[in-house]
Amino acid sequence: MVKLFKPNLTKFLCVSLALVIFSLPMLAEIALSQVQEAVIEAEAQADRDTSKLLWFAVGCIGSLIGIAIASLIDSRPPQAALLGKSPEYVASYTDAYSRRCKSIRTKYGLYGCGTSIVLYGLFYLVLFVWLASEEENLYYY
Amino acid sequence: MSPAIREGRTLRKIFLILSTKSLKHWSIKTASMVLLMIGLCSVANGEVLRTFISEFHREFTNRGAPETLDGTVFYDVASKKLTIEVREPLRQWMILQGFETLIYYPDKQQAFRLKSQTDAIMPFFVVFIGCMQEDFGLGILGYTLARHEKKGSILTSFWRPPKNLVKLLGETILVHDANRLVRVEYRSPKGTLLREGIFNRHALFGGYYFPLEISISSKSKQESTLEKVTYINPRFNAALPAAVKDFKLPPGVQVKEVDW
Repeated sequence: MVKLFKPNLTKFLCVSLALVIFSLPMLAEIALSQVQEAVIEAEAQADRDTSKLLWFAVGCIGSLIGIAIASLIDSRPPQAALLGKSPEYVASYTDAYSRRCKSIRTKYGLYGCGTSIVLYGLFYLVLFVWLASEEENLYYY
Repeated sequence: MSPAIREGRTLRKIFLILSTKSLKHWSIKTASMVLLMIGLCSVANGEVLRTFISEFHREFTNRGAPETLDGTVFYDVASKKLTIEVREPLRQWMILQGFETLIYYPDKQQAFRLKSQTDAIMPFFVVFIGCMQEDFGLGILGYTLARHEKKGSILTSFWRPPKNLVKLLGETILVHDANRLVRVEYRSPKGTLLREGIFNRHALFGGYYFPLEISISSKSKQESTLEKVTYINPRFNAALPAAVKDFKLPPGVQVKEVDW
């Protein structure tokens, strides 16, 4: 009886182990696809929620201080997007949303800051050229 | 006509007057609106909403197959605490109160605590509870009544956004049919329809009609979404279960704190 039982138990253990080994990649793939989906949705939502024009203006007006504010302020993802979602989805979504919002704010803040620097530079250049020409005229007089 | 209904109609007239441009100072208008809301909540048969419990079914469609969700909402008016118990597709508790949102997974003994600098809200429930206000809360947001049209039992009111937001927000249109809010339209400054809410199967409580079927569709260049929520077996002023009223995370639960 024991001799009969041992091979059957061995077979059972082998089959179970094989099933576990082969199903692990599938489970991992399902978890990964949830994370990927969360990241895609979070980044799309962040793109919709963050005003690029506003942060461009903040960069223009606030300069480096504006950029610092952009990188420090945190964002609030919509709670409805997390309802009925798995913990892996929630963790990935919240991280991706915050990261994307900060990235957009900082990027457009930098664009605004750069634009204001260029405009100021042009202004002072024109002013300098104009003042220089006025000074020449004074000498002639 | 009962005194409560007479008082209710008087308060509603005052509401409409206050919503117009006649009262320009924002502080007087805000204070008046708050007092009016307190008054409105206690009118009509003396029924005051204290709690709300209902099972619900939610379908959300965004670029693909609809995602379905079944659960129960528990709302406590005094503490403004909204508790949502999700049963399908997985077991999840979501508690929204003040600036904090707690998401708890009983099967996995995991939780997330999200703290933000603005109120935690759930749009499909805000829309439901917003029907307690004649103007859907637009007056408090600074909207003014531009004009209205009445055809039989259907009243259509057109609301202009606050002056400082005219370039960002367009007109909002409310359609009431025999005192039931049946449709809300949010339009862009150019007049394009951005979001539409359709409300059906109303339940009467405290003189107000609460929609039990809500359908919200939004369209933009980036996305097109449709959210349908159906409230099943609503109970007004029922006792909240102790597990909901005094909800606490069990010991040993891993909590991830997220600051927004």
